[in-house]
Amino acid sequence: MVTILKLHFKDSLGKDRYIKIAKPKKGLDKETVQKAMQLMVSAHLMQSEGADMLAIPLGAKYVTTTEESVYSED
Amino acid sequence: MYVYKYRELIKAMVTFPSQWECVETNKIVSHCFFCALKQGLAERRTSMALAIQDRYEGYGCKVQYTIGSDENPKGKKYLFTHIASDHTDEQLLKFAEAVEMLFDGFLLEFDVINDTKITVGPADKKPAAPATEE
Repeated sequence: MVTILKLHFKDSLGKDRYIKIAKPKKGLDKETVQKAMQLMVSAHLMQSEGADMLAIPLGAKYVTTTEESVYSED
Repeated sequence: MYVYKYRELIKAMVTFPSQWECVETNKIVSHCFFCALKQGLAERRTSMALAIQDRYEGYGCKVQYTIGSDENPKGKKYLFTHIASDHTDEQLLKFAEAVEMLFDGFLLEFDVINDTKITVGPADKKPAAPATEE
């Protein structure tokens, strides 16, 4: 079972942008994640096609994936 | 068309300086073109054109954060792409602060990756167009 933290932003052109964080801290609360995302936005560090990639923080969620082996020769 | 890694090419030029002769340089803000003459393996001189693609300045770069933890004391590396070419240290530090708040571990170090490569082709042809961001 693998858990990532998926951060959802809008860029300055209105396009959805995501940052996936592997091995995130567990049990992060809304305030901490909002503060971190706001810091990322205020850094203005990422750009693509002339747009600020992280312009508006929209949300964050933990995403957990599970694997169920069907076949393996190992 | 051959693609040399920057360090490999510099090593070759330093090890065998007589094989290379820089005949033209034209430094532009984002990248640098120059032509050189290379001594061919079959004792014939081959004219080569080199295009240095400095993606650090012109085509975006990457920042790599190393996060240490009890499981991984030496650190696990995380790469972020699409970093603005004209970024400042203050921007990097602000982003690093956000990263440290979310990752399970502590920030050990971060590096900006200068992703330079050099494309080599015949001198009578125009050097390859700089690569675009992935």
